[in-house]
Parts: sequence; C-alpha cells; structure tokens
Amino acid sequence: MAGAPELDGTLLAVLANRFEAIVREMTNTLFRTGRSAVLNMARDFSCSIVSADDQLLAAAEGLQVHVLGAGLQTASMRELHPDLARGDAFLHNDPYLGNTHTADFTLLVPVFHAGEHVFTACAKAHQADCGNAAPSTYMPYAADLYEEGGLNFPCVQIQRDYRDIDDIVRMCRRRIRVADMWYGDYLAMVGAGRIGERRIGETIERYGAATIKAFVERWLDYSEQRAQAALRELPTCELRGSSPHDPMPGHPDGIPVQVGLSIDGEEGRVVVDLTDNVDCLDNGLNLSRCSAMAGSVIGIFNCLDPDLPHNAGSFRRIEVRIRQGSAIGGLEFPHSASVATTNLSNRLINSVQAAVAAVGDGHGLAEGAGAMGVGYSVFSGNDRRNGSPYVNQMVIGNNGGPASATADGWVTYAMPDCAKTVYIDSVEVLEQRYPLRIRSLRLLPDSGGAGRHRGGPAGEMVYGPVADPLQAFYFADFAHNPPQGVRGGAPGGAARAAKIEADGSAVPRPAIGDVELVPGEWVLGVESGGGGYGDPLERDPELVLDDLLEGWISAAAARDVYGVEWVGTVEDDSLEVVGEATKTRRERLREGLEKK
Amino acid sequence: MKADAIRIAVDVGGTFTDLVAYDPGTERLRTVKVLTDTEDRSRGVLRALAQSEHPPAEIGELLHGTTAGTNAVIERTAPRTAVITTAGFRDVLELMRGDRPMPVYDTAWRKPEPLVPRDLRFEVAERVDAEGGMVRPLDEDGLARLLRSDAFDGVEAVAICFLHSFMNDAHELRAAEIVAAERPDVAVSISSRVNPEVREYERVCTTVLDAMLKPLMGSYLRELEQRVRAEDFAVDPLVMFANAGVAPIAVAEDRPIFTLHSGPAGGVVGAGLVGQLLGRENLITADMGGTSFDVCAIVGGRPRFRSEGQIEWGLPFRIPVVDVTTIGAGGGSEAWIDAGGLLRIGPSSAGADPGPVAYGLGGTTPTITDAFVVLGYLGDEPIAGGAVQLDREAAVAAIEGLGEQLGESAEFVADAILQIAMAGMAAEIRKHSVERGDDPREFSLFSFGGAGSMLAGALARLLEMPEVIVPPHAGVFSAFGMLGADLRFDVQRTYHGDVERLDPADLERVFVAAETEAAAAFEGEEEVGFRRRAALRYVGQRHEIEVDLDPGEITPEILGAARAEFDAGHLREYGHHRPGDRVEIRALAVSAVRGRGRPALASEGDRAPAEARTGSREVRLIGSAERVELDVYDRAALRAGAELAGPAILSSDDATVVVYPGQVASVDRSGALLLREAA
Repeated sequence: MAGAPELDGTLLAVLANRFEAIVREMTNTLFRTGRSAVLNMARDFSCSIVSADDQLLAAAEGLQVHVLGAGLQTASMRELHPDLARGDAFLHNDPYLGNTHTADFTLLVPVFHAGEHVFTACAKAHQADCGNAAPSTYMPYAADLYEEGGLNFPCVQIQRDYRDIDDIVRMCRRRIRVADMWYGDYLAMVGAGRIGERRIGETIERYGAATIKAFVERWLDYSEQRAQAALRELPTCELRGSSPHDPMPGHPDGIPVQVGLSIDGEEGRVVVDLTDNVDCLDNGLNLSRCSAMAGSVIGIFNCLDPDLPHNAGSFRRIEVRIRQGSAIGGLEFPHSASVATTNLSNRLINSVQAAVAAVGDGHGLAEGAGAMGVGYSVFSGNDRRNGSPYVNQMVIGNNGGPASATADGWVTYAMPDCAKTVYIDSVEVLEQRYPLRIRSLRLLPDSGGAGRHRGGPAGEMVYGPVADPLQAFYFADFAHNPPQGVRGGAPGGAARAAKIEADGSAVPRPAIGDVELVPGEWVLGVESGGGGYGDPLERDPELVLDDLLEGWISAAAARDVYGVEWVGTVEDDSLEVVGEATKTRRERLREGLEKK
Repeated sequence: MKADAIRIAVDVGGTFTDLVAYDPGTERLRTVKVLTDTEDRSRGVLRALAQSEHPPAEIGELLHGTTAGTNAVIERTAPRTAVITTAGFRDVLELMRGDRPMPVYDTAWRKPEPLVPRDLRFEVAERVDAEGGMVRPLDEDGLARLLRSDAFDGVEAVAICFLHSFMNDAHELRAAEIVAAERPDVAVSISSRVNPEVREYERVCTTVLDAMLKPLMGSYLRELEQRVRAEDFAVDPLVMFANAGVAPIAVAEDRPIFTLHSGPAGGVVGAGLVGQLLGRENLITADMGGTSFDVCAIVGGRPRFRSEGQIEWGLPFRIPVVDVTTIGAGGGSEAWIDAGGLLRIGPSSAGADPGPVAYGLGGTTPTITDAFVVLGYLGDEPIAGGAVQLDREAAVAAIEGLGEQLGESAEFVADAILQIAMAGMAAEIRKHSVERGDDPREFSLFSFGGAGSMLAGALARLLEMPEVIVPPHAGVFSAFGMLGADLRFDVQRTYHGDVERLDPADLERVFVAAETEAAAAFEGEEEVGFRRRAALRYVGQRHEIEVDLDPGEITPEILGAARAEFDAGHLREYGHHRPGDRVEIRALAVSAVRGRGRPALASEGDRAPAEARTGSREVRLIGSAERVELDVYDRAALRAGAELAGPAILSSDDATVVVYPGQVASVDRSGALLLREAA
C-alpha cells in the first residue's frame, strides 16, 4: 500500500461510532420486523460486521455468545466460496464450521467495493424451529447430529444477485414446522444484512476505501492496546476454575468443566486453557468451538473495564486453548452441540469469572445463575379455540445475577451467556395467546447468595392449562450444583420443580424433565439465585435491613447469616440497626466460623 | 377571548422561568426570564406575570408548562405511592421487561430502582382471565383490612392494577371505591382508566406515575388557579401536555400523567409554527442544551409521535408523546482520555453545576463549551442572557491538560472535541431518521438551544441537509411554542382484529366510545375534531406501525387504505413488505383536537448588515487548521431580507449562530435565520 492515508484519533473515533451505528441499525431492523416471539420478544439474535480478513469489527448490542465467533463463520465462507460476488448471501448454521449451534441461523452478506470483498455483514438469529426431530430447538438428549435431526447448512448460498435461491428456501419451508413464520424471520435477517451492506457502502464512498482500511487496522490495534492495559492491572498468576454441570441421564455424577488461567500481568495477556476436559459427549451439551471461545472471552471481559471495545483486536490478548475431541470446544462430527449456547457454556463462563476472583478483593465475579427451568419451558398442547396444536418456549423465568466487588447481583439476569440482553414475556400476552394460566410470578426471599454483595434472587412461577392437557419440557441445570459465591460469599438458591396436584399438594419433580398437566394441576418452578461476593458479615447493616424490609431476606438470615441486630418492625417501616449489638454478634459468628 | 388580547405562555423550568407575551396586533413578543422560585413555583409564575407589565385585564390567554412533576419522579421525591395488584404478581414492577441497556459486560450495572419499593406493593386476592371472565372474586374484606393496617399509613397515592383489567374493569372500580371509603385522603389511579392496554408491566408503570403525580400536580395547579383568580386575571390557565397539546387545569389534575415529559413538547410545537411561517413542512429539530442533544422530526407539518415515553431507561409510560430522542451531548459534556489514549466525550456531564470550566463556578473537567471558548466561537461577551461571564484562560488551561497527555496543542484538542461531539450528533440524527424511514437530506435542520447553533451549519453540511433554520427568541423557545399548541386530549385502547376479517361496525363502536371519552376533557368547548389512528402489524410480529385512518365511519375501504399505508410504511422503514400477508390491528388511538390561533412573528430589526456589525473575532472553525477573522453582527438588529455571506458570527444574548465559509445566511420576515450553501 502506498503509504497509509492520514487517520488521526479524531477520525478513528468518528468511524468507530459510525460502524457501531450501522450495526445498531441492522439490529433495529431485525428486531422490529422479525415474526417469531424468540426474535421480536426475547430478542435472541445478533448483528455484526466482520472485516474481509475475518476480524470481528463491530457488534453493538449483540448477544455475547453469538457474535464473538463471527470471524470463524466468515472464514468458512471465504474458503468454501472463493468466487464471492456482490449480491450473494449465505446461510450458515453449521457448528463444525464456526457456528454456535444448529438453531442459530446466520445470514452472511459479503460487502463489495470496487469489485473487492471488503466486509461481511452478519445477522444471526435463534430460529423458532429448525426442523429438529422433536418440536424443540434444544435437543439435550440427542446422541449426535442425526438424532438432532435439524437442517444443517454448512455455509450454503441462499441469494445470488440479491434474489433468493429458491431451492434452499423451499427446503426450509418444507422441513421447518412454522414455514411462514420462518420465512418472515428470514426476510428480516436479509433486511438487516442488506441495510448493513448499504450503509457500509455509503461510509466507504464518503471516506474512501484506503481510509476505511487504515481505520480497521488502527481500530483493532487500539482495541488490543485497551485490552492489554486492562490485563496489566492484574498480577501474573496461574488460576484454576471449575463449575460442574448437574447430573443428567448417562452422567450420574454430572459433567465437570475445568479451566486453567495463565495471566501475564507484565505483557497484559491471558491464556484460557480448556484442554483438561472430558471427551465429546453422546448428548447435545457439547460446546462448539465458537461457543467455547465465546464463553472464555465473556468470562474474562466480565472481569475487565466494560468500556473496552469488544472485537477481534481486544481478543488478541486472550488466547483460548482447546483440545480437539474435547466436549469443551473440540467438537467433532457428528457429535451434537444442540444446546451449546446455554448449559456448559454457562458453566464455562462461571468457571472463568469465579477463578479470577482468586486474584484478590476487588477482582472477578461470583457465579451467575442460569437454570433453564420451568420459567423457560417449552410447552405444547391443543388450543380448542382454533382447533390447532401449539408449541412455544416461554421466557419468563428469573435467574439471579452474580454479585461483584462493587454491586449486588441483578434481579433478573437470564443466564451468563447473554447476561440479560433478552426481554421477558408478558403474563397477559401469554395468557391471550395460549390456553394457559399463570398463577404467580414472584421473587423468593433468601435465594440470592449471601455476601458483602448479595447475589440476585431467584424467581418462582406457577402455571397450568385452562382447558385441555398441556405438556411442559424443561432442563434446569443448577439444581444440584447451585451458583457458587466467591471470596466468602454463599451460593445462590438451587433450581427446583414440582407438580401441584388437583388437591393442592406439591410433589417434587426432577429439575431436568417434563410434566403433563390437566386443568386443575399446575407446574411450579424455581430458577436459581446468583452467588454472593465477600463475607456476609461485612455487608453494610443498613443494606441488610433494607433487604429485610423489602423481603429479599428473612429475619433469620439477617440475624444468623448477616449478624445484624435491630429494633423496630417491618410492618411499620421502623427498622433500625443496633450498632453495638451487631458488632458483638458479628464477632461471635466469626469466632463460631473459625471453630468450624 | 378578544382577537387582540395578549397571549401569555410561562414555562417553569428547573433553573429559569421563561415568559413570552404575544401581542397579535403587532405580532411582537415580549420576553421575561427570571430564576425559578423552587420554594413556591406558582408564586414565581405570578412574579414573572407581574414583570411582563401587562395588566390582567389585557390578557386573554394564559398557558403554562412545568417540569416539576417530571423532576420529582426522576429524583424520586414524589409522594409516597403504593401499588395494589393481583395476588401472585407484586414483583411485576421489579422484573421490568427483564432486559438491560448496553454495554453488556458491565457486571456492576444496577437496574433503576422500581417506581414503588417492594414493601409498598400489596397483593389482593382476585383474578380475571384473558377474555375478561371472572375467575376469582375480589377479596373486599382483605382489601379493607390491608387499607386499615399500619403498612398503609403515610401513603399519599395508590395505583390499582389488576391483570387483564382492560378486558373487565369491575374489580378495579370496586377496589377504588373501597380505597375511597377507607382512605379518603389517598389519591387513586386505576389502570383500566389510565391505560387500558395489554402488557402488565407497562400498564402498572403508567398507572403508578399517574397516581404519584396526583397529589403533587393537584395541589400545585389548584394553588396556581387560586392565585391567578386573586389577581383578577379573567382567564382559565391551560397546561402543556407531552402530546404537544394543552388542556384545562381540571384535566391535568385528573390525568396528570399527560404532563410528564412535557418539557420538550413546547420547542417541537414552536418549530412546527416557525416552519409553517416559512412554508417548510419537513424539519428535524436539534436542541442542544447544557446536558443533552434532543432530536425530533416534523413531517408534513406535524411532529412525529410515539405511543410510549420513558422517564429513564426501563421505566416506560404509555401515552402519546412527541417522538424526541436524546443523547448526552450538551455544552456540559465532559472530555476525557481513555486507557488506550483516545479522546472521548461524555457521557458524564458537568451540567450547569459545577458547569464548564469557563463558567468559573467550580468546574475543573473540560467540556464541549470549553472547546467552543478555546476556539473563539464564544467571545468575551456574557452568555445565557447575561447570566454567565466566560473565563477563557481557565478553559485553555483545562484543555491544555488533555493536550499534554495527547502531545497536541489545546486548539487541536478543542477541535477534536467538537468533531467527535458533532459525529455523535450526526449519528443520532441519522439514526433517528433512518429508523423511521426518513432521509435527512429531505429535511431542514431546525436548531435551537443555547449551544447548538454554533455547529448547526457544519452539522447540516455533514448530513447533506439543504438548510438550517434558527428561530428568533431561541432562549425562550419552549414558552414561545406553547402559544401554538392545540387543545388536545388522547385516548388509547387495546383492540385485536384481523384487518380483512373484523366487523367494521364493531371497530366503529370502539372508536366512538373513545372519542366520547376524549371529548369529555373539553366540556363546553366547541369545534372539537377527532383524529383516529390504528397500530398495525403483520400477524406474528410484535412491533406495530401506527397509521392515520381516513375520517369517517369505519368501512372496508378505510381499512383497506390503512393496510396499504401500513405496507408502504413497512417498506419505507425496513426495506421490505408483504402485501399478501395477513395484517392485524393491535391498538387504537383517538385524539380530540381543537385548534387555537397561531401566532405570527415579525422581525424586529431594521438595519442592513453593514450597520449591524459590532466588531470581529478570531475563530478557528471546526475542521480547519488555523484561525480566521470573522465579522460579528448583532442578530436582532438585522432587518428582514438581509443577507450575509459566511464566514460570520451572528450574536444575540441567548444564542450564537455561526455562518460557515461557503454558506449564506438570510433573515426571514419572521425573524428566523436561514443558512444555506451559497449557490
């Protein structure tokens, strides 16, 4: 190149802002025009822009687990389609070629300028249905890809000259259970990709191709420097973390997830070692390479300055080591990665961020809750109002967020891999659309892990059918191994499920399972609470009484776990800390603990 | 009202109370600016009225806007408010919509506190199903016991919000009666009246805000009314609403939710007024104040609306509001250098207190205003109507501090601050317009607010907008705008029907009922007109596009036209549409509107440019490497028709306008300035 064009810090900031704005515009298009609830209510999709050499450049507002591997997918596009042309678009959902899992369809739109491939605009969306063997996009028990049964598109061309290749569309329409809804979602993805293409083109026209090229290089370098500076604030050390997934059929002792972290505080670099993990499993929990890399990077980013740009530049300071053939990222065909974005992915993120807490006070995070229990169940039955069957996933559960060195966990958190970028459903809308009734939806006292900062509380919900039988499937991890606290913080509350019989009695059920209900029967589910950070005896006594007043903790916990003594009552809002007695009580509790 | 009676509008802001008095006979405005009497706002209003020097008998109309309610809600100083809701659902306010703003990796982020704390959210046994059928009767005794308990002591307002009450309001109505009997001093709002639409979280938020504002706005407005009467004003004051209309005090007391976020509405109405005087129908307004940069579009002469506002992230209220979006880029936005050595602007702001370094009020972090001072955009004359004297040396020293870290001069850094800030503003205008299917190149940039008009010319050039309009009286522009507001009241309804299959007569009945309710707000007023709107979407979508319905009784033809308008809107906004797909109506809205006389404006200057020149100043204009000597003109002295070629500065005591090289400014007969590229 004949000398990089002039590009000062001002233009760098201006162009970074411009590319993020383009991604936001793509996101808005997809959100507002998508047809399925999973897109337009739960917002389970992401947009990003990747450079011609497969570097993730911008991913404003994307789901973390979705966007961090976008470069792997564009690399497969370039390899499989060396004759890329303007007007092309590719459909990619192959977990062996860089996608997260089968249910995430990714549309890749290569963007050209003056005949040269310069960027790729990507839109990835979780589908309402992907043609799996069962009417669910999560197949935890599938032994392999064949048992998943979904459509696999290993980066297949779906548009040429801006027109659909109808063969592919027809395949999807035949196999996907909600064909019209799917096509509406597909159009929304194409709309997002093409808007990205148009805006990138306008930006290149305005600033010149050479300037934009120089910008990409400079912006990624800048992002790398930011990540390096942030990692230099950590000491050089070796850490280990682990967070075992609950037992499930075939794995009576659960599934361990192990990570090693080598932090080089002088160089500002970290190695996340995932090689010490079990071989690929004969179920749908395996992590694709994309999910494992994303999980590692999310865990690290959660512990650094949130203002860092999150792109391929900052990733350069994080090396993820994966063993081919391992369940944690070394996915081999035809093992299934059907639930690669949730279960082991959440465990991986928790392992990393909780391990960092060992650096010292002020660092790392507790484990976040991530049960996909009754509040996230896939429910199905027949609706006599229109005589047709229904199936859908509800998104109304509430997992508690992890406590950090500076804050309590969030009240609603969803799960570590998306950290609350999705919306929850409206009770009224669910009841309008489906023949079911939600009896209660509440947050539970004492479910957030105790600590100097408290974990977020868990939600409980109860629902059942109003007219005809209803079946519910759920898959709640965190029932046996609830989210752990760090630095003396306590674990959050465990997930659970129960069936409430017609006579009102509650019968416990496995948290991973299913239930069939007739009117008068209900399913009760509790998600999990976030882990606490630091010693509960160091929590500000005023905050403890606030928690008591608002019902986040019980009086027993306030006394026995937090060691606070008070006068007054909750009923007339007259609680007051008794300082001396609290001090004494806390000292006695500390001694008691030491004796143990 | 006599045709020549004086019309007065008073805008009570957090810091200043602005008054404009308009004389229709002369088309002249008189303005008054006084410090807001925060101890007793209505006393402050009366003081401003006294300073206007119009005897009460001359005044034919008194309009009034206040941010007191909005501020109390934002600052959480509103009266103690409780929620009564369906058993099992007291945490709906806590769960919100579940989502969160960016950046996603900020694990120390805290959700906004719910509008009502958990210990003031009470459950009562009752249940209605999705079709409106009664599943469980209201536990009237339990409710009465709750109301008599200690927990209810000190509660000043209560919001009653039961599930599905928009389908069957019997339990809410009965609960309101019981509250009135047990706690007669407590203000009550019920969700089936305030916001009869599906989605419990949004409905309970809206209802809580309405309840919370009742004690606050009620006592204030009653006091104002009494004081106005005591001073022998022969007018009933009208109150500014967030829907860009005004309404009688009684309506504001009954439905105070409509006053929430009425602050930006006056300026947007004013922009529409000036646009009308100039014959411009498509405007993008840009209001740059001390802490924020607000954008709104006026299309076809009407401000664009949205059906929901929010008092901060995550806390929505569902009433029609002018569709203003905001970024934190005001004169007080702070400049800093991040860990990667990049210059950044905001989001933190020095606001008005401590303010920019140049204000000399204790601010130490350099701001956008300081960059204007360093580059010479702002000179030695005082700003903000004479209230602030600038300290140039302090601004230079502060920005030099950033320059040392970057290895650049203070002027280089100041220029970079303005460029980055302007890129943010351009991005916001672009986002605001493209997300709504507009092309900014087809709009005039309407610039007001203290700091905006220094950059407006450059901003329009960046966005390829053909023209900048800077109105007269930019410093009291919101008050001016109120003069042009219609009487207006809105009613929203949930409605669910397939456009091709629904019964037009049924839809007509719902509209007529909504119109009857809306018209009741203006009892005794004649010539009320109605506008009907419907929110449409393709079956399965979640997001609607609101379209205007043609006037007249609902017919298949009217529905067909609405559907065609929806398809066209979908194509415009999102780049695709599906005219063959089923379309459903999800919500209806009715506006009852009665037009009022619109003020005209006449330029008050009488001088040619050469006579209005007051001196010159060295300015380093944004994006250029050196200073140039610019002539400075007294804007108010310029006569209508005057033209000036840039570069030049047009100065007045409440705003500075910069005409960039290659641009021409002309003075309209209304006193508005127009900036365009020279032919």
